[in-house]
Amino acid sequence: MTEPLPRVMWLLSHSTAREFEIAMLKKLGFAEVFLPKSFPMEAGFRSASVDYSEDARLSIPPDDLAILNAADWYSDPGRDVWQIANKHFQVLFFIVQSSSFLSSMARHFQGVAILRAYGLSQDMSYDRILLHYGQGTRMLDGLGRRLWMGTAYEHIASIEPPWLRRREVYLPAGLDDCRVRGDWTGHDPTLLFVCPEVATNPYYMQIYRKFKTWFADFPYVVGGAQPLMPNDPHVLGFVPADAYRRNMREFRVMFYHSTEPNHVHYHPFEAVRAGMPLIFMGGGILDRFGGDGLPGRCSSYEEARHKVRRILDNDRKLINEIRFSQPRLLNGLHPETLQPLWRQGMEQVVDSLRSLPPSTLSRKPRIAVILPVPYRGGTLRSAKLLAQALLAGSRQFDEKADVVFAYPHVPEEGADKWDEGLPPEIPRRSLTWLALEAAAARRAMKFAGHSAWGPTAERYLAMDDGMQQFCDCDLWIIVSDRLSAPLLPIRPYILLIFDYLQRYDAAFPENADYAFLAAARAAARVLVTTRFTEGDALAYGGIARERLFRVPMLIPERPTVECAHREAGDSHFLWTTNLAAHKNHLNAVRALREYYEVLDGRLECRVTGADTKDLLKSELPHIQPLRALVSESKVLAKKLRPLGELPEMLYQRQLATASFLWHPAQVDNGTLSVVEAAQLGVPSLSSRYPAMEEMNERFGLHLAWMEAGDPSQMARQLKWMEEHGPSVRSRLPGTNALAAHSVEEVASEYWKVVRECL
Amino acid sequence: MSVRHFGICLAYGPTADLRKEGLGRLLIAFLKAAVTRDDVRFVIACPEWSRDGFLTLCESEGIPSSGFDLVSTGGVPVGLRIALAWRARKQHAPKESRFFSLAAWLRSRAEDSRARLERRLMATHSVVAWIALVLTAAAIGLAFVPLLGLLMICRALYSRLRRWGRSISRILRLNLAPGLLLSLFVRPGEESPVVRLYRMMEDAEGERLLKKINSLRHVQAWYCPTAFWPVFNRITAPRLMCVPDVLPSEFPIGFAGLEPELAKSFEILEHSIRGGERFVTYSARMKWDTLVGRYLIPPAAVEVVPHACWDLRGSITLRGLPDNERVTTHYCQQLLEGAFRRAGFNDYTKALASGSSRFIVYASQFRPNKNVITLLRAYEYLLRKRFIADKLILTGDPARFPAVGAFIRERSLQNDVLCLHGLTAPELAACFHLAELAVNPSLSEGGCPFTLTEALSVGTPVVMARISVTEEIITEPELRDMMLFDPYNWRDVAARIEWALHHREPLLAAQNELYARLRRRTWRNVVDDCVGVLESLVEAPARAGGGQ
Repeated sequence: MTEPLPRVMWLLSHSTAREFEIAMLKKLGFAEVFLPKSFPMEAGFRSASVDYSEDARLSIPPDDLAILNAADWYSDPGRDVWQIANKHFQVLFFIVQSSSFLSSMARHFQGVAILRAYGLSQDMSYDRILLHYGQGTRMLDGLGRRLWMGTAYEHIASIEPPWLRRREVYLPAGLDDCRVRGDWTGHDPTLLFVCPEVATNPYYMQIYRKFKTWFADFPYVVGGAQPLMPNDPHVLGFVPADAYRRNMREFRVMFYHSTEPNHVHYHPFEAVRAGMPLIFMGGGILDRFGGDGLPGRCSSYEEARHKVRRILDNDRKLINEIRFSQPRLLNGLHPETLQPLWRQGMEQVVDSLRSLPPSTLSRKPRIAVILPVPYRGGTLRSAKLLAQALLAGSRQFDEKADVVFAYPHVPEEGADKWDEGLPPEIPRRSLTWLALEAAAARRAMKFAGHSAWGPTAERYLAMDDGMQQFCDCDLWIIVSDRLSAPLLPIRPYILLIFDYLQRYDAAFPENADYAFLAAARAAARVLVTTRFTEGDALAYGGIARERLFRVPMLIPERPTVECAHREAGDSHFLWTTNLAAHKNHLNAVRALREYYEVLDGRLECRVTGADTKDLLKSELPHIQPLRALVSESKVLAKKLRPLGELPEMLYQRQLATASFLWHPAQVDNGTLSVVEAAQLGVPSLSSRYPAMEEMNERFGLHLAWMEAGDPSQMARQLKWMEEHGPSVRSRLPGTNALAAHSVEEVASEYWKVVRECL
Repeated sequence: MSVRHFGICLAYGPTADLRKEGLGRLLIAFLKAAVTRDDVRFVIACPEWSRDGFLTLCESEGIPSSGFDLVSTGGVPVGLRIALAWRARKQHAPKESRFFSLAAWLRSRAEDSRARLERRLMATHSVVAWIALVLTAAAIGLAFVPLLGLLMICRALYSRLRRWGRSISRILRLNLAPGLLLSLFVRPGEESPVVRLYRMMEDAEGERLLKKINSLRHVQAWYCPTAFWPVFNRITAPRLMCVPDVLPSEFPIGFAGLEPELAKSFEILEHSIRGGERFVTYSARMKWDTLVGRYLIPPAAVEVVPHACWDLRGSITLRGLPDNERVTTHYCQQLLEGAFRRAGFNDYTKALASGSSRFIVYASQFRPNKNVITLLRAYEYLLRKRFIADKLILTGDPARFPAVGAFIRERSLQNDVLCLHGLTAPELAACFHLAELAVNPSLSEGGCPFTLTEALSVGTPVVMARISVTEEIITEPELRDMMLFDPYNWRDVAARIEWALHHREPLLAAQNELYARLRRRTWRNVVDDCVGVLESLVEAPARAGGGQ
């Protein structure tokens, strides 16, 4: 290693491992090492600590260091942080703590990553862990040859499958200081058993129970960190450093239980260093450290009991035999012994770094915005606005990306073409859904390079655009969660979810939405546009908080029609709706009847929106009662005018000349119609529910409110709007105020979230 | 200092798990405090079948066995041993038989051999070798023909036998058993034969226990934590019986719809009360309304000894890391996720990330007095009309109280109302700690519901039903207005919950003051109160209760 060695990020926090490994890296010439400054607040990190001592030796700009120090290296530090890391570091050591770290590192880190493998319990393998956190090897495939498995013990890669074994580099675990101290006295005839977390960790609970069945009749104490102290006088819990040293000096003997073949704790070595006799069970990894044949080794618990008894009875012969022979266990941990092995291992790593293929000129990433169902109305409009926002956001960040817009193939067009209004630089695609059986799904994933992926469902969905089935896109953004089966995870996907209306529908069939919820839980990220839906996504959707992002609601550009001149007086108000149950038709029509019959309402009610021409004909159970209501009232039949779905221009004209817009829905994610109305100088009367309140607050709409469950109050509010039109109109936000929420203005918020997945 | 001995009589059934019994928790809290008294030593008397469980529980709770004496009946009835062994066998997961392991091994070997043979067959260039391989394959195939035939015959026979077996069991189940066999043993409305035999065994063991107790002359007086054990009234030494509640008398129709065995238990309970001498209750309401009012016990024979404060922090509060609060929350989330997985209603629940969900909790079994349906009505309104995002976690078992399950299904609330029954103590503490709000709409209890101090001890505010046992403890009018609701009006329940969710911090601050006051009453105070009553019995044995 004659050339300057790269800087290293050692992204672990284990205190003892750090002492040895950082010193070793220094000896090998890796002079600059970055250490993480935080670690997960979980009981399992009982041996972790933070160390700033290496910062002074780092020759990177202080601002960059400050950013790296503030990052969470056990979760997703974010693309910008990775860019700084890439500027200064080429090698990193990591452990697998979360799926988000793994995917973020695989996506953004450009150097060599070494998975530090200290061995696991017998029934576990690194392959299983990586497959679990990495959704198959999908996330790791991005790392290609840059992923290494840095084994701490020579044999532990042997239980791993070939894909992981091929990546092994042997970097043995060691102890910075292997000297045996000579101050052990053993005055206290007590057995020391180290077992952390006996009240909180089922694995250690089991070990402690077994220990007690064999040794409860001996004088014993239990050492090890106890985040929750059990009601057990034998358990020492936290002891200050002085007391710890005294314990290691004075307790008569330590028992080490583990027969795990792939993992060892540090404390048996600490006992050997202290000079305390160590009684340990054979068959575990200590045998590989030279434990086989040592007098402290036991083949059975009976033998262990016997030896412990003799030591507690102060059998000096046995004590001396054990004490004088056991330093052999430390031989394999000496830094001097291990340095050549580390040198060899790190040379392999550095060579691989130098022989990495040059990074190809990357093409612009391509993002597909996809409507899975042929929605019209607000959802379609929002999907198109999303595509525009992504395009604008990428440009604002100077990170150009292609955005394509996909819509289900529909034989018949509605009032407008589905891509009406979409800018020409966003290509369109029609899609049809393919259902792949599990075997075909496995094949597809294998062909795509995800060899270790296995299906967990009987059927997977894929999208066919007649070309490459959207595999030319780097990221799919699906607008809504309406996926009837899991999406084949050949590309990462994001869901934009507007609402969880089923939560508010007492007649919703049990588990009918499970596929939708599962799709969201499997998404790389989930976007929502209101606090209300965010709450539902967490509480009802069960989506992990770190994958859920609230982005601002996108509003359309100002309509092109002119605001109406109102000298002639108002003739109508506009009710925008569709035939979905949450639109509250029955209460709305009851309110209308009262408005006309009781309150002498003057304004005509014009109904528009998808399928509204069938408003009085539909056989839907929640629509049927409307017919009777309307036929019983002449005035209602005359004044209620269903217009159906109108082309955009016609709709805008109807809206511009309306006295006000009426939105009597029960609950949803809010409607953009009220914003469009405000843009045209038309006020709105809306049901009061959380999403509409949020919109009102965000856009300063000064909405008039009514209670969706109270038709009489709704009718009174209609009358009030009829009578107070001018004063309500005067409180509408100005054009400039609404322009502050335009797509261009909020596009960066979208891009910040989406770019992390590229 | 002379030490006085008092006894505690425990006659739990053999299958009772003290850890899961509310009375078990009370007993442990009581004993923990009792062992701190130097001048009093308690003697616990129980059937032999409870001995190990009781000692294990004491050990796990850090109560030294040297702190009390334990006497038991000395043996377990043979019938019970058989029954328990049978139950254990049924609960044990079936082990894979050696035959199936061998068959699997043979099959994998056969598949390997077949693959090897096929590979050679298709790879060889030599005609001779090819013919030899074909002949070998044919010979092996022929050798397997008889074995294959035998297997097919066995399989056909097995399916036929299964069909017959199913038909026979259907006949027995649908026609014969109820009509003929059961009528020999059961009269409509009576206990089942198993329950009757079980009770006979309990009675017999009770007799043995009584003999043992009456032989302990150094025990000056005896305490019984419940009124379900009639044997207690036949102890010759002075006796003090605790009557936690007599709920079936208040909810006769509700309880009549539950297990028929309850009728017998209720009979025993009334018999025990009528035969008792001195009593303690947890609340004044229980004393005056039930014991004095209904059972005509003289007021002087009843002492009110309220509970002390519960503190659940010990089960979940982790220490030793830089941010103990976050570690504790993470640990609680892990515990709750474990409970979700164990409950395993469906994939939806199993995969819930507990850190994502905000929820309200009502920790209680489902019984007629618990008023669960009212809470569900209020919750549905809050969820669907007032749009609170929270889920509702209940800790009862809907299988044992079908009305709750039916309501949840009818209103399609399965994904929002989660019934996590059988929670361990740390899981329950975690549930309270993570909840936004604890609710207790119970219509009647023997004492102030545990919910109050359990939730407050882990930093969660509480809203509760305005019932007299609660008002005995919460005396401040402002606080009552803040946290109590009318449990007979679901709209009031909903309004109070909604208010509490929106005013969590001020409510918690006010309740923390209450908790600080309640914490002043410790379990040692409870022990002292009970010991005081026991001493008064020794000094002036009362015969106030009648004694049948």
